[in-house]
Amino acid sequence: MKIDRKIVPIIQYFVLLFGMSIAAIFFQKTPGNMDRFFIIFVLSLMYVAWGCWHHGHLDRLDRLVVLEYSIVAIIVIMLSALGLGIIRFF
Amino acid sequence: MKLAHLFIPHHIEKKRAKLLQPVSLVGYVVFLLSVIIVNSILVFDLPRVLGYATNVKVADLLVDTNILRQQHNLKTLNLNPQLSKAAEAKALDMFANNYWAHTSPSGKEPWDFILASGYDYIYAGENLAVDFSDSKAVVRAWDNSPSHRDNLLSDRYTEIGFAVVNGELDGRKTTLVVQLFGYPRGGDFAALPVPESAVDELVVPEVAENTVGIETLPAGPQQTSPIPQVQTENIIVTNGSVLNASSVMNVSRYMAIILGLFLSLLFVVDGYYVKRLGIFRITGHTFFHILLLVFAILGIWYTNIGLVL
Repeated sequence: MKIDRKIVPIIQYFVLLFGMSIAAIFFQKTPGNMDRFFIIFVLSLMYVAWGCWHHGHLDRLDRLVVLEYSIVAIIVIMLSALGLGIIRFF
Repeated sequence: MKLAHLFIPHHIEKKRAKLLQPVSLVGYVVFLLSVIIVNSILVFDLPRVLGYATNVKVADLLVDTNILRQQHNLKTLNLNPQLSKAAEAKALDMFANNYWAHTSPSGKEPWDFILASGYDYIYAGENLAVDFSDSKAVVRAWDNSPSHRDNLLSDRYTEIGFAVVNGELDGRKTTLVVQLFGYPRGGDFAALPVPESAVDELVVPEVAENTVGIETLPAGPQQTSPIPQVQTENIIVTNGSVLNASSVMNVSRYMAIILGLFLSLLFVVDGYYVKRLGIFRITGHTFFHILLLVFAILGIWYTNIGLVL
């Protein structure tokens, strides 16, 4: 079965929203700060992968786009490390 | 006009606002890295710079715990000096042997401390906390954790003991809070609901804060008032003005939230003007950047900097 190319981005949006919803549920169910940080860490990595997949499909994937997704993910990871008091575990 | 393009995308250059361009984003990463490094140095490498400053008080912990129980139509718990003595012994043992757990490295269980204090029990439980700066936050954190909440709202317990002890754990100054619950052997067993099992049960939560003294329940006759007067002997507690590890981490927490909100706002403004000016450009997905940042901000907001065990 061939999926219409125009439908694919919509599916990609739902995949991302589904992933974020699952992460939110896990986050809410997990009391530990380190575990919560790990959830955000994994979500951020998946976000970069999603960005490459999404923009690749649209033929708009270039170095700057990958860089932007990567830096946003790094910022989110660092904000979480700072905000969740993760340094005490190092 | 140049200043405006710090926040608003340029319709000819077809790029993001200057504060959202890769160079600026790298700048935020460098800034965050600097804050994390300074934070680590303050907390771990310069412990002498930090003092103890805590607003965690046994009396407040007792009141807040009992208020919570009353809200759930449960009987209030009475302070028991033996349980408080056991809680203090547990906290001192954690500092002395540098661990943060219900069971010590040598295998001592919470009930070992309880029995050593002379308190013979039918049911007992333990909640721990560390890195909290006020009593309400401690009880709220326990209440938000299902296993600790089970202890707080158990109808099996009739007595409670607390210790708030300052010391150094894993190379940083902090305050530990130990909360022990008990139902004494020889108590009014008929007053309790039918137990599910006759096996002793342990429930362990977490709490801790920084100080240079010990706050425990007073020795003497058993308290019967739900909110007794608590003496604070042998306590050196400094409130407010002294920088401590949990203060540093709390400041960092708010910095993370503010920076996250600032970036989210920049992306909102950028996205709005791109739509309004009809700019076509190849960048990442603004909406999902915002969503990810908001996820992190909410996560930080709803997570205590302190830990419970």
